[in-house]
This record gives sequence, structure tokens and C-alpha cells, in this order.
Amino acid sequence: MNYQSTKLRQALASEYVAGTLTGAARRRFQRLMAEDPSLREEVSYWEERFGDLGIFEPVPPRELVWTEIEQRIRHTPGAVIPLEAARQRRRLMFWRLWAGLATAASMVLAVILVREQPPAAPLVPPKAPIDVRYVQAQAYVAALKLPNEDAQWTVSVLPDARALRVIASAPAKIREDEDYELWWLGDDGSATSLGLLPRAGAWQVLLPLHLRVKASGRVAVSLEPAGGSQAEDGPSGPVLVSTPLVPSV
Amino acid sequence: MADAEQLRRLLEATARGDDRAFAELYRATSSHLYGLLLRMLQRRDWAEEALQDCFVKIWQKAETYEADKGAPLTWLLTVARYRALDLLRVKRPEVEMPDHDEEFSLPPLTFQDEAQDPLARASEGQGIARMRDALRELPQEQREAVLLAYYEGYTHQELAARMNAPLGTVKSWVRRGLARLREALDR
Repeated sequence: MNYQSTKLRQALASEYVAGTLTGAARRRFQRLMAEDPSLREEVSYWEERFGDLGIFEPVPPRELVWTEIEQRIRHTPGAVIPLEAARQRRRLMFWRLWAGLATAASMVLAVILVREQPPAAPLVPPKAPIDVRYVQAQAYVAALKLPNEDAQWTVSVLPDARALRVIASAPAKIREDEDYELWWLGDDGSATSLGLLPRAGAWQVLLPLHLRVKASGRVAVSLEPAGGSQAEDGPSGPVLVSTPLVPSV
Repeated sequence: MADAEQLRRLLEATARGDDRAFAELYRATSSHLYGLLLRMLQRRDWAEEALQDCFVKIWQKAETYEADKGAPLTWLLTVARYRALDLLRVKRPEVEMPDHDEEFSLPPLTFQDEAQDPLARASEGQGIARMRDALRELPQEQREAVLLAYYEGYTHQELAARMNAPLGTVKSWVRRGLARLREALDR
């Protein structure tokens, strides 16, 4: 397709924002957008105009939603807050350098990431009955062995408790200005950060509520600048390993 | 009720890791995001899940908001809308399209001449008033197709079923509707 035509670019951007650009075409457009500031401008154009026409009646959410959010950002041991705090501390030092590098790298890595996804993960998963897919009691394990690392991490997931535990077998050899970040891979190809892998010892994290633990689940590890991924929605560094979760006996 | 300038300050403070500002931002805006999510997802459990995801993301990514890129509420609603779209694309294939007599009833999809809410009004630029006018000028099918796609997350296939028209026809309604909007806005 000729993406240079102005009319076509306008049309694609408008359908991207309207949501009618779907599937592979949507993903292709997202990749193009990452490289092309003028396409992003086009998208912002529509986002700003559609954004708030006063159509939606405000509805107060139930109190428990805030409780859950607080839990996810604050009380999760080793998870979101430390990640963010680490980022805050290091941002000043790294920001200037990374602003330049990350833009270039994210284009390349966006492509790598898409290729890294398991081939059997379409954007829209095949139709399946929803009543039987969520296994509640079964625990899952995964062993994460990185290339060039003696250390190995054992990951276990207890869906009942929404808990994910990580134990490092030996202290990891990793540079001070880098971290390993642990990711949850969704069936839809999305990657959700679970936090930074401990360099040694054990660590537990509460799984975000929207993640469904099931037999097709995968976890992955990426190498990131200290403090974690610089990208919007996934790893900014290379994905070193991706492993399925196996039901434990 | 917070105005756009206050929201901007709250977002900036949130980006610095100020959790009290974040809580205030949630109090000021969560009902707007939740209203959008309920409308698009039409199920309370999904809307609550999506609202959580949105605010966790806002907490983590508040720094990516650029004040010159438009009103803060618009940015927040955009975060919510893309989250809702992602969820719909993943989840809706698995379930029936929602009935309209679900646990809560939705008002028909119309847009008011004036937003009742001061927050919504405060965040409005001139562009939005023009957008409303431009939408009103569209032929009825085009307007309906664009609004259903945008505000209820309908795919082409779902539009065809809902509007009882061939797929090719609804595709061109959306495409032409958007192109005409663009022309009207550029005039």
C-alpha cells in the first residue's frame, strides 16, 4: 500500500482513532506511526477533536476500584512503586541520553517485539467458550534461564492468591546500569510488566487483576536500562527469554 | 470541581510520584473515564477492570502527557478509550453482543448541545465545537456509523450487523463520514 498519499494517510489515521482499523492493519499502522511524526500528528488531530464531545454521562465508580488501584501501585511488594521510584531517581541522569537512543531503539525493538511474540497469538484470539478457560486452583511454574547467565529464576504463580513468586538460584551478574524486567505475555500479544527481577534472593508480586492465569500463559525477561523499560507498552530492551508457564504437579 | 489548569497541575505532580495528587486526580476524573468505559464496554466488571488499568497506567506514564498537546481530560479519556478498544477486540469475540436490557440501561447515543458538566466544558477548545457542528452536517448513516465505531467500539462487521447493511456499505459510511468531517474541520 502506498502510505505516502496524503489522503490515504489521513484516512488511515482517522480509522485508527475511530477504532475501525483492526487486526494486522492496525498493528502495521502502529509501527508506521512510531517512525513517522506526521502520522502521529494526524492521530493527535483526531484524538483532540473526538476526545470529549460531552457525550458520556459521568458515572462514579465503586469505591473498591480505587482500593484495587492503590493496592496495585502501593502495596505490591517489589512491584510498581519501586520500579517507578527507581526510574524517578535515575531519570535525570539517563533521560537526555535515552531520549535520543530510545526513540531510535523503540522503532527497531517494536519490530523485534512483534516478531518475538509466539506465532500462535493472533490479535483477536479464536472464538472459545469463556466458562472453562480460567483455571483457578492450579499452580504454575516456569524456569527462566538467560543466555550467558549462571543464575536461574524460578517463577511460580498461585492464581488463588494472585501471587507470583520469583526465586533466584544465584546472584545475577548484571551491570549496575541495567536491570532484568519480568513480563507477563497476554494471548493478545500484550506485555504487562510485573517488575524488575531480583538480583538475588526471593521476591513476590501481586498479579494485576486483569491478568488471567491460564495454561497458555507465558512470561518473558527483557534487558532494560536501570529502572525498567522506557517504552509505553512493553519492553524497550531486547527480550532475552520467553517461557511458557507449566502446570505444577 | 477541578478545571483544566488544576488537572494539568495534578498530572504534573503525579508524574513526579506525588500519590496525593494522583488520588485527587482520580477523584476529579474517574467518573468521566468510568462513564466512557461503561458506555463502550457495557459491562460493569470489564469497565471496572479497565478503569483500574487506566489509572495504573496514568500513574506510571503521567510524564508522557504533554501540556501543549491538548486538554488534560482529553488525554485521560484517550487513554481510557484505547484501553476499552483493546479489551473489546480481545473479549467481544467470546461473548454475545450485549443486550440493551443489561444490568444498567444506556441512554441512546446522542450528543447534547451543551455538556452539563463544567469539567467537560472547561476542557473544550474551539475545535470541539466545530467537530460537533461537522458531525451534525453528516448524512445520518455516516454520522451513526462514525459515532458507533468511535464511542461504542464497533468493528465494521459489528456495524454491519447493528445497522443491518452490507459490510462494504458500512465501511464506506465510516470512511466517507470521516473524510467529510476532515473537510468540514479544515474549512
